[in-house]
Formats: sequence, structure tokens, C-alpha cells
Amino acid sequence: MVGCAANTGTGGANSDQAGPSTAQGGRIWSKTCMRCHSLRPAEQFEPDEWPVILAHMRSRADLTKSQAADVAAFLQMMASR
Amino acid sequence: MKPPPKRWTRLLPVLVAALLAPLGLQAQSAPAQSASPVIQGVITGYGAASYSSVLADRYENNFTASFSPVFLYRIGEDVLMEGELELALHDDQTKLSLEHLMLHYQAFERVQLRIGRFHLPFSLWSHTDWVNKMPSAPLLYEDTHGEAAGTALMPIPFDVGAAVDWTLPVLEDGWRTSAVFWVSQGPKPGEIDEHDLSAPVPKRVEDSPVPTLVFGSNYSDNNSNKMVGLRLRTMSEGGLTLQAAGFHTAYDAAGDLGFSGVNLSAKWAPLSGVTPRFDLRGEVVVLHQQYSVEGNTESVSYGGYYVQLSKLYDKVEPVLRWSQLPAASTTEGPLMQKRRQLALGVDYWMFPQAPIQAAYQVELDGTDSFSLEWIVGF
Repeated sequence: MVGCAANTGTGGANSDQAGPSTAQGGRIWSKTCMRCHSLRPAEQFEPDEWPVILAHMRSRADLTKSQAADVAAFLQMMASR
Repeated sequence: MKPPPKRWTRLLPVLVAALLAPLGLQAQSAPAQSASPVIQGVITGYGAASYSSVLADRYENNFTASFSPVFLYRIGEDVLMEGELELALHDDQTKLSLEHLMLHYQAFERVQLRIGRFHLPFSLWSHTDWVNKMPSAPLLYEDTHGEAAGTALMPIPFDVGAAVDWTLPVLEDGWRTSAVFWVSQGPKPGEIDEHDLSAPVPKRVEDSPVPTLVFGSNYSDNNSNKMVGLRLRTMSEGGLTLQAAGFHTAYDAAGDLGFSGVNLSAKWAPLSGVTPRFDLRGEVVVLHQQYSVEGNTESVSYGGYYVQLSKLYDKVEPVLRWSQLPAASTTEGPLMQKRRQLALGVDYWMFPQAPIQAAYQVELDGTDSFSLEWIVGF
């Protein structure tokens, strides 16, 4: 099964060293997304939709795979609140 | 709420695997044929309604509307299909266009492959007006809403081909640096179509021997005139973006007549919290085109630039832009006339994804125009 690594970040990715980092994702999000467009509230998408959005934005923002997973994990955490 | 997976989407992994197999690429974490990768879908996009007017002619104004759904399907961790359609009014009909269709494959941690029809990484200017912050394009680029067709230096460049995105392991302390290499179909000689999104470049003096070129079409050729291009970009956490891009192609069937371009772009949007204090951006484009006159090959260079500044005050964002196309000539006579434009705009951000944008274009060498657009993203 090819799972969604970013999904494991919902609400607690930092506990897993090998998984996405919500802290790192938040830092990248705060310094990247607003450079090109207004920030959408995290709750505008379902938590499991954010990895799809980040796959869409990855090449536009020059993110590595793990950086995109970090940002997705951060937005999933925010959307789950 | 995500849409439920459709039965036909289960065929996508097979399609992607079939497309990538000739390139010798293997799935990074799991082969597409392995048991049931997770398919996640999101439908997003935007609708736009606009009014534009060329003020000197009471008959050259119109309302129009378009709807652009974007379909995103992620298959497993490493494959994404994204497609954007545009349904737009076209005289008395509704025209359906494929804006872009990309299959992404994350081959490695830092390397991504893209195949399909995509916005060439040549221009900083986007086809999305809320990213551009203006409803009208600078003189360098053709507006995608059919306004002032054939008068810009080049269309916002889309093409059909393949690209490799590589996030480079250099300058990583506070910077992100990337290289994109692409191979695409390349332009071909074409005619001006007022509503064609793949509009020709540039507006020529009548009877010029230099053909206009159309981007973004798929047609058969003998591989002698594919476009190859490269973009290098670096972005700092302080909000500075610097990029340089170039391409080379040929546009005749024999591959003898070359066409190349260079773009140098910069953007500075220093952040205060998560909001840019201001947004200053600019591009310089130089094109070089060969042409044939009585059996001899000649060449001509032409280009232009723009600078744009905007600043957000709560929900209101004034925008100021200057763009210029210098006159260009061939040995046979003038090719392009000089154009200078000052654009004064204002955006009202009703919601983060719903700006109302207005702009007045002062043409120092022509006729003023006005643009008003409301976009709602979803």
C-alpha cells in the first residue's frame, strides 16, 4: 500500500523523527506561500486534501519532497483543530 | 469534502507507468503495479467575470466570464495528475480550452518530472491574475482573457513537453535554489486570433518578413525544431527571488530558422509576519529570431521590460506598473513600434481567494484602456 506520509503528521508528526515535521512545515509555510498568493485558511480544505494541494504546489515553490510533506503536515494539523 | 474516487481514476497509475516506462524510470517507493496505491482527489479552481474597455472607441468594450476548474488526483506519494480547463465565452459560443495538463512524478527527494502541457518556467508572470495582482498583463505578455490580442511581446508561454525540476543542494542556509530543464514542442508560424489563448508574438508592422509565432500547440514535426530551455532560480527567506531563464528552438519545418529568448526576473516581497510589506517585481525579456528573405537568413532582436510595485493595506492593495517595448527594426524596415504603458491598479481582497481587481492602462503611444475583474477561487 502506498500510503500518504503526510497523513501521519496530523496532530503529531513531531513525535516521529522519520516523519514530517509540523514545526518545520509551519516555518516553510510562513516564509513561502504568501510570496505568491494570499493564504487560505487551513480549514478550507479537509486534512487529507492538503497533501494533494502540496503535491500541486511543490514544483511552483521549489520544495523538496520532504519539505512539501512537512508543510502538508502543518496544514493538516491546523485544519484538524 | 473530497470527491469520491471515480472508477476511471484507477486506470491512471497504469497510464502513468506506461508513459514513464520508456524513460527507464521506476517508481521511487512502490511500483505502480503493486497493491492499490491510495488515490486522493481534490477539485479546486476559480471563476472570473470581467469588463474591459478601450476608452477611445465606445464600441471596443465587453463583459465576459470564464470558469476554470482544476482537477488534482494524487496517486500514492509520488504521482500527481493535474488538469485545468477553461470554459470561456467566445463571441456567441462557449470555448473549452485545456489550460494545462501535467503528470508529475517525484523521482527523488529533490527531483520531479513533469510531462504534459504546462506554463513554461520562462516567465515570472503567471496566467492567474490574483498571483499577478493585476487584471491586465504588462506589454511583455498576452493577456489570457482575450484582451488586446496580438499586441504584446509574447503570450504567457505554455507548451507541450516534459520538464525536470531539481531543487539544488546549494545555498541552503536561508535560500532555496532550483534548476528546471525542459524540452517542448516549440512555437510555429501562426496567425493572430483575437481570442486564441496561444496568441502569436509580437504585433508586427504589416508586411514584415518576420513571421508571428504561436506557442502551445501540438503538431507533428521532424524533431529538428523542439524547444529546449533552462531556468535557474534562487529564493531567500527574506523574500527575494532571482531567476534567469533561456530557451532555443527553431520554428520552420526544416529547423533552419532559430528562435531564442532570455528572461531575467527579480521579485522582492519582504515578509512582516506572514504578509509581504510590499511586492516589487520586474522582468526583462530579449528575443532573437531568424527569418528568411529571398533565400537568405537574417535575424532580428527585440524585447521589453516591466516593473510592478504593490502594497497591501488591510484588504486594499494599490498596484503601479510601468512596461515598455522599444521599437525594433529589420534591415527591410521597421518590425515593431515603440510602446510605453503606465498601469494604475487596485485590488480589493474580499476574501483571500476572491479579489476584485481594477486597472487603468495609460498608453503613452496609443489608446488607454480599463479592466475590471472579479475572481472567486474555490
